[in-house]
Amino acid sequence: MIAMPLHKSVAIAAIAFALAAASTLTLNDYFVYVVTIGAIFATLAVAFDVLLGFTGYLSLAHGALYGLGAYACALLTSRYGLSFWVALPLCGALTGAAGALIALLAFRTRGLYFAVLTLGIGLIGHQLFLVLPNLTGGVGGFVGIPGPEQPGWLAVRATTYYALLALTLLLVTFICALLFVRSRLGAECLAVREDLTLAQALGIRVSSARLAAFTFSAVFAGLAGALFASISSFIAPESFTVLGTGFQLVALVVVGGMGTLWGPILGAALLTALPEGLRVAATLSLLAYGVLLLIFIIFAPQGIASLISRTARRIGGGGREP
Amino acid sequence: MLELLPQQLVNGLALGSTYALVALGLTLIFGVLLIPNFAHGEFYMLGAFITYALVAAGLNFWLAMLVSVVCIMAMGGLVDRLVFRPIETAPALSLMISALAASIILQQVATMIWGTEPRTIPAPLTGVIRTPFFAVTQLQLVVMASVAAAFGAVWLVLNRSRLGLAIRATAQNRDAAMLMGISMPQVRFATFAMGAALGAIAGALLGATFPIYPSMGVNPVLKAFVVLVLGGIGSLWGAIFGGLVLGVAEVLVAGYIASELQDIGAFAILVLVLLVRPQGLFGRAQVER
Repeated sequence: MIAMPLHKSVAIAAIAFALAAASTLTLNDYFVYVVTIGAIFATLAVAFDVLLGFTGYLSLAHGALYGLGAYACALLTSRYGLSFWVALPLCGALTGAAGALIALLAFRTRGLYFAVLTLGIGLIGHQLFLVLPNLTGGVGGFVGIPGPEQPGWLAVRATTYYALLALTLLLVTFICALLFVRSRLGAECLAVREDLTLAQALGIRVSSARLAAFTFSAVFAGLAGALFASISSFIAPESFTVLGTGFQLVALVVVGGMGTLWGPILGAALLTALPEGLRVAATLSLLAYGVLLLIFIIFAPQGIASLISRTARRIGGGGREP
Repeated sequence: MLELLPQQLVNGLALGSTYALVALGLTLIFGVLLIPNFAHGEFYMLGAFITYALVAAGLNFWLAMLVSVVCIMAMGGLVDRLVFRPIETAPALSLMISALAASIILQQVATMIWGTEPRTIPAPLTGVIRTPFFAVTQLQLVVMASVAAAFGAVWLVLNRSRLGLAIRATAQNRDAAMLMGISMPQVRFATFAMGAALGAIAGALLGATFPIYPSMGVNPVLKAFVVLVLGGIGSLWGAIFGGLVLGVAEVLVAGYIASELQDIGAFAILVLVLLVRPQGLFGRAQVER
């Protein structure tokens, strides 16, 4: 695959961002909310893809990391009265630290054992949200989280402001992920994905590369969680389950296209925003997730992204596949 | 506190035998075909629901359970055919993801049919046997007996039949087995049918004790993964041993520390064991493709 020059990718992302941001000025509150949730899930998916798509490790602990960011933000802003803008980086740092710790433990294993170990950690995380009611509000959830303060000069509706924040976080995450995967560390992650033994033999420091990828994805999952908590003002453990959010992330990334950064955004847009926008029942949308995931993993494991780029190449090149 | 210990141990063994029963099916499928079948919990769940539907239609519990086991065996074969056979040669990551997808699909289909409201299967046995030290329900005894029976049956099939020979050969070396003329579709079907049957038996028996609902399979299958890690993936004895250890450990944590820590305790054991021995307590060398 020949990569697009960096400035071109960033420019396309910025244009897409501007279009999405402009649309939130005109849409009604409900659709603006759909865009917001879509952008948060896209952020999660891009962060998750750095680990799953570029390093080749299936983590099921990310639902809990997302939750950790959310609960940390809730506690910091409502109990300790911190401003959202102070709490946000703290949440990112906290989940990054937690992610690094989990990575240090989990990378002692690989393959299925890695998935099972992170699954266990994800479940412990979810259980902790339930059994620590003093901190998290337990089953009932955490109520009354203050929203991000809106600066006076930005005269838009609160919902639009939230959508703009979510889209900005997505843009920042996308650019950071782009820089990460194009860096030396990113190349080392790809080597780990392709052949762990070969990578080790080539003198690549495998453990630091995958630790970096896991920590990176944890930081941005935490940021997404913090923003989610702040703009929803209410969070409950059921938003951070392994088989809910954890599974959803896998579906978004695989359907969108593992190992491309724009694929997961596409996946999130299609799978999160669309069912929400069309108001499909939750059961049906989960069923559709399952069916789509199965169809894609069997027939097009590289996801929508590869279908699109293949079609584009066929049209552009006017000829056969190389 | 200590006078409750014999009772706690009995409860732990009863709970552990259900974990063992679920883990036995999971370990069989993984040991032979290297498929991490996350959808195993849904075999368990559907086993319970089909039994429930048949009992509600007026069938005797044991007959209903038998019919349900046969249905789930067929479904096991079908799941393999639709979900895992098409990506036989794909990396382990794809197998895991498609297993997750199958699990979600089956859960949602069950939700559409039966709704999320918990239901109960009327217990076929209600007697309690009391001894000076502990009490045990007849149903708990049946569960423990069926673990022993199921283990015996699987052991006999694997070690005393031609099919079992083929299955063991496949587990050892799939390519060599195929070169020997072993029919892979047959081995796959047999393995999935046996594994699914074990799950369905566990589901039907547990459904007579606990409420049943479409996501009821999630926790047992995760516990079964803990058992697998404890006992070593692919080892039948390990599944039994791991199941019993986990059951007793959970009951002791719930009884002596705090009941809401029961699940955390189980998953903490999982994490600890994997940290100390990344290949599981009795695991063979890393199973990876």
